[in-house]
Amino acid sequence: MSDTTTARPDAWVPTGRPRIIDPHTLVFWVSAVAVVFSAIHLYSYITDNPLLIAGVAWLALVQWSLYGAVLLLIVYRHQLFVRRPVSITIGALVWGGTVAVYLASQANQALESIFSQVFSPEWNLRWGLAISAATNEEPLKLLGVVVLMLLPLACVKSTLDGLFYGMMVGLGFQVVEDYMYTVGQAFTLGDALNFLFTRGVVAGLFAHAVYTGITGAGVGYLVSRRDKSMGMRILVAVAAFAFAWCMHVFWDSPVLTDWGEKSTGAFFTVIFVKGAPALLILLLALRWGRKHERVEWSEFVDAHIDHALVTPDDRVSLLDHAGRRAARKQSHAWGGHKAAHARKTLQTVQLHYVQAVREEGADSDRARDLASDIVELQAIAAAPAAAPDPDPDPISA
Amino acid sequence: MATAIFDPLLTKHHLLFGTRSVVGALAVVLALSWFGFGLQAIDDAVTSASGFAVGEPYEVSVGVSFTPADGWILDPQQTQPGSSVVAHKNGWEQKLASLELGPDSTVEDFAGILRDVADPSVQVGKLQTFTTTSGLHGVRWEVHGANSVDVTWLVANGPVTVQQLATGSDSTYASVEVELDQMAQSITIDDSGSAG
Repeated sequence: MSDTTTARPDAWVPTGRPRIIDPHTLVFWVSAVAVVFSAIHLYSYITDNPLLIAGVAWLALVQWSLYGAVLLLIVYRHQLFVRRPVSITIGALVWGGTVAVYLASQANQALESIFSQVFSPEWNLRWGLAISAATNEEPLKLLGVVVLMLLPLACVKSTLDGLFYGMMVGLGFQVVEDYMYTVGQAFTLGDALNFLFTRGVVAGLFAHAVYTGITGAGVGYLVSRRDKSMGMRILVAVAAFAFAWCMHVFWDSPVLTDWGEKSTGAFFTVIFVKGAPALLILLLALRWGRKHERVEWSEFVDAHIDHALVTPDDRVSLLDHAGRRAARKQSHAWGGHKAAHARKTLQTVQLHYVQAVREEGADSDRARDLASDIVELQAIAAAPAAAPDPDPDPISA
Repeated sequence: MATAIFDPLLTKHHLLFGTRSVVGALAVVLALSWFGFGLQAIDDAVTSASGFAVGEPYEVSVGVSFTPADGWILDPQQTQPGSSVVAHKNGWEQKLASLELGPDSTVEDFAGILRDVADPSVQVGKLQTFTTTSGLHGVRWEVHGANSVDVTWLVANGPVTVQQLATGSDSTYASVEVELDQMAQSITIDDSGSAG
């Protein structure tokens, strides 16, 4: 069976609009308690620090919040077909920034102490720190993705869902951990900014969001690709986790560290050598996931979407960013900026319409509203240059 | 085309205490417990198995402490809390004890230390001086028997003297020699300390 083989489109039933508040599931309550418990402990940890410098703490809060918001925006806007719900995205960020960070700090401390006693403090400093961080942090972050998968209303059930929410959990972890490091170790505003540069700008591309994106994609593959054998799915999930674990250990390990301190060039080389493989695998997983998602989306549109609303040409052009750009250029050639703008809006509304039908059915109010918007926009986007301005904007309307 | 609005709340699979809900919650609780408490419990077990917290000073008596090296196991049977500590590693035994000298002290108080020196079958090594990390001065000597080695360190601060005596096979002496010296150098005696 090919990689792009999917479940039968006719097996689809609307799943409802995904949401994270799911009081009919025990996992929701367990997670809520874990988040509150961890958040209180983290808050106490920060405020009880006698060396806390208020200025540094505030700067750290602002800089890491902005940093997280920028990365979040980049990842969020790069979703191809599905705009995943904001509430679930925030849930993933919160899990990573509270439960995973707090419990990892406890577990790391315990495992490092065990390593010190079983091996030696010297060994622990060289290898124990790296191994304990990867061994505790990766499963705790991945658990955030698993929790979302266990919430029926969240509808997290594809490879790309796992990858996306994994990245969000990792991003939450990364931002809060960096904030904790900054308030704990920076004594001046310059130190805080230096942390932002080294831990955020330089190392941030290769950090927790990448590792958990990989492990999340593995679990997403495990639970969603029913067209593959169970053995293959388990293998992929285990391999994804093992790879992320190894890359995390490699990143934190003393390997190449001494050499990297010789010069600025060596430093950046080491960062790249240690981080690039994980980023590369994440991008490959994204590519494979999108390939599958593209075929699945196409089959769904063919089987369940009115071809008058999403024409076969529209369907083809919507399959990737390049096709969407080409269609907008074509509209621009017909009708200038207004038509190109209308085409862009049309594409967005069509994507939302497909998602609305998928989640709530074609007869839902949401789908019907979007369908009427599409009809209106189609007239503008395909009209000659004299077409009227697409006003009001159907999306904001 | 499917048109029905699906409501998962209406399905039998979505019940608060349904099998899926309970099993999922239990799995999450177990995982969280492992990282929150399980590893800490193992760490506590490993620590109590050795009797020492790695890198932490261990109090021999009031005001007298030393920092155990890795792998040394506390002997609770022979240890007398507040006055002496006995630990083992790799067939070696070491005992730390403190003694406070006063007007009534006699030379017999040092009889245990001098016992080996008086034995004609053993070879007494050269007396060496050393300084602890806290700046106290001490002396050290080795006594070599047929197959065994006794090493003694003495550190004093005011009226309080601390003796560290290690005994073991000469074949394994090299494996613990550095650690024993490090433990002797880690001995601290507070000015206010009093021997048990």
